[in-house]
Amino acid sequence: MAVWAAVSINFMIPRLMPGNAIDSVLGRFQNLTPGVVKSLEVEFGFHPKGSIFSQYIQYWNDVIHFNLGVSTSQYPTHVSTIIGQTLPWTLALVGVATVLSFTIGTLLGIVAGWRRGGWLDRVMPGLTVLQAMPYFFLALLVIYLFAIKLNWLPYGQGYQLGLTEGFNWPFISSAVTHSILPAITIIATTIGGWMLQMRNVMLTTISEDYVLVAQAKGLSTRRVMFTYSARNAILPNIAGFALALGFVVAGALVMEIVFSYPGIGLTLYNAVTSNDYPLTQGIFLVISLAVLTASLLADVVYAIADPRARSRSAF
Amino acid sequence: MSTATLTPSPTRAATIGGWPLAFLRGVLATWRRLPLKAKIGITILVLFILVAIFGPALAPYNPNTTTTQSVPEAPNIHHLFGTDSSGGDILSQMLTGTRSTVIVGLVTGVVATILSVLVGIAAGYLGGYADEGLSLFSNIVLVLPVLPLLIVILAYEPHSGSTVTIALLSALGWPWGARVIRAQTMSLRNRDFVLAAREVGEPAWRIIVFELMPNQIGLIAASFVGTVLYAILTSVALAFLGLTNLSVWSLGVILYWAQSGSAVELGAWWWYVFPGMAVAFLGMSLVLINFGLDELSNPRLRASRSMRKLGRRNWRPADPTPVILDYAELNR
Amino acid sequence: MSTASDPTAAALTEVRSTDQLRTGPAGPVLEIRGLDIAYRSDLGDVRAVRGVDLALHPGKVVGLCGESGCGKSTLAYGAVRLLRPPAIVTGGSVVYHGKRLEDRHPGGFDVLAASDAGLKELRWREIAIVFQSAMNSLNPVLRVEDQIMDGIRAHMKMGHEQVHERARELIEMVGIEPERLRAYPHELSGGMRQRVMIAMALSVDPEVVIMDEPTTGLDVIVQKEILREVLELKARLGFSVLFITHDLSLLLEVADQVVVMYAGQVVETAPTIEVRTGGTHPYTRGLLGSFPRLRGPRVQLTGIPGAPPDLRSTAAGCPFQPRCAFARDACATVDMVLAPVAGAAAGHLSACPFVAPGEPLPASAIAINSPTGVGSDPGTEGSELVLSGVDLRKDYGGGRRGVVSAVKGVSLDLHRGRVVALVGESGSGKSTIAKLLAGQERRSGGHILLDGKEIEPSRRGEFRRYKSEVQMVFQDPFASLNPLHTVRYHLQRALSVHSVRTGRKPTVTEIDRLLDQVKLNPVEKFRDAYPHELSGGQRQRVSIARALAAEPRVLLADEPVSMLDVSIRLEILDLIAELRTKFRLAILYITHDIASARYFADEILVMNRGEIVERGPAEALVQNPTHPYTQLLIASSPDPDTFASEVPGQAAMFVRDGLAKEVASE
Ligand SMILES: Nc1ncnc2c1ncn2[C@@H]1O[C@H](COP(=O)(O)OP(=O)(O)OP(=O)(O)O)[C@@H](O)[C@H]1O
Ligand code: SF4
Ligand SMILES: [Mg+2]
Repeated sequence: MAVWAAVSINFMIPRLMPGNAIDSVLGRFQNLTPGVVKSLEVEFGFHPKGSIFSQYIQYWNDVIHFNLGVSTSQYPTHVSTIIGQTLPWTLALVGVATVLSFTIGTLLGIVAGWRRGGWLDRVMPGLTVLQAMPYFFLALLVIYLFAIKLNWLPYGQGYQLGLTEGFNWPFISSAVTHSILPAITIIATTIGGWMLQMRNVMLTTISEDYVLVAQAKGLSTRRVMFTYSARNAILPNIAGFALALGFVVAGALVMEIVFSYPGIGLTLYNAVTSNDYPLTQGIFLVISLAVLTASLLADVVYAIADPRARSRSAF
Repeated sequence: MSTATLTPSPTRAATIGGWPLAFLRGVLATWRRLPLKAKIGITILVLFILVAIFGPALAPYNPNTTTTQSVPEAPNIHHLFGTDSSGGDILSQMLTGTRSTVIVGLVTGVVATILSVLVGIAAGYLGGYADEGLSLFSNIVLVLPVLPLLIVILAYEPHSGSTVTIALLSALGWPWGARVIRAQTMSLRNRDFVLAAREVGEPAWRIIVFELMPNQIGLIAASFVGTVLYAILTSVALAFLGLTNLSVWSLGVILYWAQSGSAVELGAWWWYVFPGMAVAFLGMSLVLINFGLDELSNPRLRASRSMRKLGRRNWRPADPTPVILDYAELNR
Repeated sequence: MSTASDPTAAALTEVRSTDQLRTGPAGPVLEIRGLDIAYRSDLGDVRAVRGVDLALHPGKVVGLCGESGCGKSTLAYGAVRLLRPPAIVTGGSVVYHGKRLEDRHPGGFDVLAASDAGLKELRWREIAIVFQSAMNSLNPVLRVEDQIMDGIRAHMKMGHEQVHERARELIEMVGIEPERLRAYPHELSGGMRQRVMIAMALSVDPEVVIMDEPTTGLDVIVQKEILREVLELKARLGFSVLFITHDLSLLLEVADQVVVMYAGQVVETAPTIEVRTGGTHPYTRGLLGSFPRLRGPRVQLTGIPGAPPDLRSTAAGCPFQPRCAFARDACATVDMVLAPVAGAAAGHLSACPFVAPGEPLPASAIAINSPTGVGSDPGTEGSELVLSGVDLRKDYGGGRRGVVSAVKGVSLDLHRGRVVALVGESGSGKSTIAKLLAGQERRSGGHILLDGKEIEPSRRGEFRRYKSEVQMVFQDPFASLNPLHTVRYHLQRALSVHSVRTGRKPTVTEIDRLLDQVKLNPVEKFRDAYPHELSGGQRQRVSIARALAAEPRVLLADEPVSMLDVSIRLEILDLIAELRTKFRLAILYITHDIASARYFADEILVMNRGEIVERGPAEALVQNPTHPYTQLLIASSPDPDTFASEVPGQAAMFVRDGLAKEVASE
């Protein structure tokens, strides 16, 4: 359903733009080969051929075959090729950092809730200052401090220029060191949110009767804390994960731009600034689908974790 | 995330002084009940709003002034926050730019919250097909990655003004609130007092406006604050990427110029730290307010002050019941 | 980590051990002395338990009862230190003398001085608890089996197979098929969940089982079965029970010793027999006079006026004074100590020095007149028919889960000035009938006739006119008033919606008149109050006043008192009965409690699974039920007057057991 919406929106955006916008778009292109112009026209329906409906069918057909058109700024590379090159970088960085952030944040939240009033609980409001900071601002600070002032870690690009991409040690170590600062920034800005939410739900869960029963049973503290409290408290966090993904992705995109990290966010930015519309649209489509997939995954995990949800959807 | 009802303190209608006084007294009473975090947050937010109103008038320089210099000037007695690389005064730019950032945040907050209340209450109260349709719609909007979508849209219309930004942010920002409000409405709808109001013969609009909405003030407020935060962060990010109108000062625009003027590489930290911190403070004030609202609506999140007075030791929720035999002494 | 490192607590242990020498080994298994528990709060501490003494002897059932909020649960959980902050134990001692702990703790196990680890040993293995609400006391995301087994594993060294075997045994013991072990809690019915809790509590063979309202919220028939199982198991396994309930009549059946609490204090403790014959303390007597009986002749009900005091107050004297019919000036300064009652059996103590057993109630005390007077059905002659439902049907669902027929063809007539009671268990469809008649839900079939004319109440145009004739009072007084509006607002709205028809303007005078009708006096005190400032009984009165504002001819009362304390129920029923006479209201009284229907209604309809199985004049139906279901219902209701058995706590309650099987097999 949402897939359909994402694709349709992608289809509609250029068609809904007011006419003069289309002209200005075309006007912005100088010295384009007629081939490009033609592909643009087909792609965006600037000069519609056939009814809007048949265009729509054609568009779907293209999408299903990963035929997202040709990039205008890197003519004649196909949009899907460019995405294929950059997407892995983003998936690796944003995926790992987000999973790390979620896991660590949740664990800390469990501890903070269980030991409410402890030191961890008390420093937590401090962490949320990070949460309220614009991601890119934190990125700028991190670059200034660690890369420029202290010169501990490199920034910019995904790896040392001149290395060959592939499965060799210099490349991998360089890629990892280059990703540390961006990863830290992502984790720092998102961890507070996970932690706070987990802590709050923990506090609510701990006062449930079944936790009291678990204590009355004389179970070990660990079992009460994890199997009875955290196990239940994490459910809303999983549900929240699916909803928050959009924000996480947004933050990560901007971060890539600041770090000049060769992921999909930077590519999107470059595409936008060079008026490469096919590429822009293609990337948006891929991002939408990625977010959708992730949130569907979170839904599946939720259904596995909560037997009540399972029996509700089973029928 | 809490869905509990937040009920403002019911203060007795004043018999003397009329309603303005009673209203003031109500505001005061509510203020007194607020958790410290919320008080701090509100104070900071009000400061920002004051800057937004009076800032442009207070700015010591014209933010657009350029001099012949070509390196940014560090903070000094003439330029408290330093200058950019063409001599523009950062402080003046901030005082001028706060207005548009705050306006985008607040207006988006208002518009998106109105949308979410309308959709949420309609879906929750009407139920049935209306609910299914509206929920489906908001779920779809909810999973759309907002920033990339905005980037794509603005790619066609770059440097458009804040009206466009506000419109887009509002159009994409309502489903969060609508979702919680819908859930809350559904649970309230079947509460006895709502059934009882129907039993009395009250029309539907009265039930919605006088029975349902007042019980959701806390939730609506939380959703408003959340939306403002989202709008501010997103609009600043868009400006930073150079996708909004760069000729109107806003905090994000200053950061854009800092980035494109290679402030980081030049070591001109004042160029981005001051405006960045301003955004961070603004954001923090909103986060703090939401903390406070959370605590208000869910007493379990609140540490009991009287327990803290028992001193010596911090009682964790799952500890065995404390035994304090010198209780009489404690109470003095 | 624990209070054991606390010097004061350590010092206290010494003091206590000398104390215990007096008790001796043959004494109680759990002994609570002078226990004080307070909830810290910014507005002053709530002293929920004040100097309570309680001894539980091996193999016995001690019943603890009292109104809601009197501190029963606080006492029970406090005794095993399970209360969460802001609760603190501020005094007294709790000592456990278990056989298994004898050698390690010769003087008894001091619960208040125990460490966290020590408590883990004590809990479940020695003292197990069945919690107040089975709904929330099982973890919704774990299988029943895992929840039973982890308790066993925590206390016994057993192999996985053995533990599993034990779980099977336990679940069979409480009458559930072992296959259900794999189920999640939400897949079980309320009664089954409660049984699982009981199986869990017995899993590691504890010596003491605390049961906090183990059957509240269950239907009487299920309640009866569960209680029987508990007593049988007790006889077999030999544990002792602390049985907590607000329902004194239940205790009279199951307990050996009854402890009555009021405002955090024990006001009377006595062997069950002595309470049956009337009790001593005015509060106990008030409780005894509050519940309508199902068997034997109709007796005068007395009830207890007023509401319990605020537990924050530290005023001296008897806390019951404002509500006590025997009160005198000296009560304000009396010391609340339990003293043996003169001329009564050993172990019968009362905190009231002024009232002796059997002392007649002062004439002024009989405030409550039995609602319908004689209780003989005046018949329907001379009272015109207002509202009737003919062959009402309601189906829910449809779609994937299939259709559930909640109401399958029910007909009933409501006449002016008559009370018809609709009696049934939860899920029998009685509330659905109320909703259909009130026009809140659309029916799937049948007709509603108002003054003999067919009407479609759920249709928009007719709804308001219909509402001016037929009003409803809700079950839960805490939920039926909007917490944000004053009493005045609620009544004003009701008046103004119907002002055209009634000709009454929503003025203060009219509001006061309504408040006066429901006896909320002085009216000035209640007019501008918010619901949270009122007690449950007062709120229910406001609800009734709101229903009266429309000047209806029919009042639908869906369990109007089931959320209220026993002592307050009578007053509300009395009020409704009075209004019935005054305004010649036709009343449909919906209840699960057939005993109250006997006292309150002219006619009783018994409902089971969406159908009316028996109907007849109230008194006649209760005396001579003919349908097996009605018989079972009556047999299962608590019967405080069963003197059949001389051994309280034993099989006295199961005389009519066979019936349950008969109906179940139907
Ligand atoms: N967390 C708390 N904070 C403050 N007061 C509390 C708290 N929990 C309970 N109380 C108060 O302590 C008193 C005793 O409560 P308790 O739950 O023990 O009553 P109860 O006799 O078990 O009632 P019920 O029959 O409703 O279960 C009540 O007046 C209640 O308001
Ligand atoms: S002491 Fe007085 S007020 Fe208390 S129960 Fe006895 S007679 Fe009543
Ligand atoms: Mg209780």
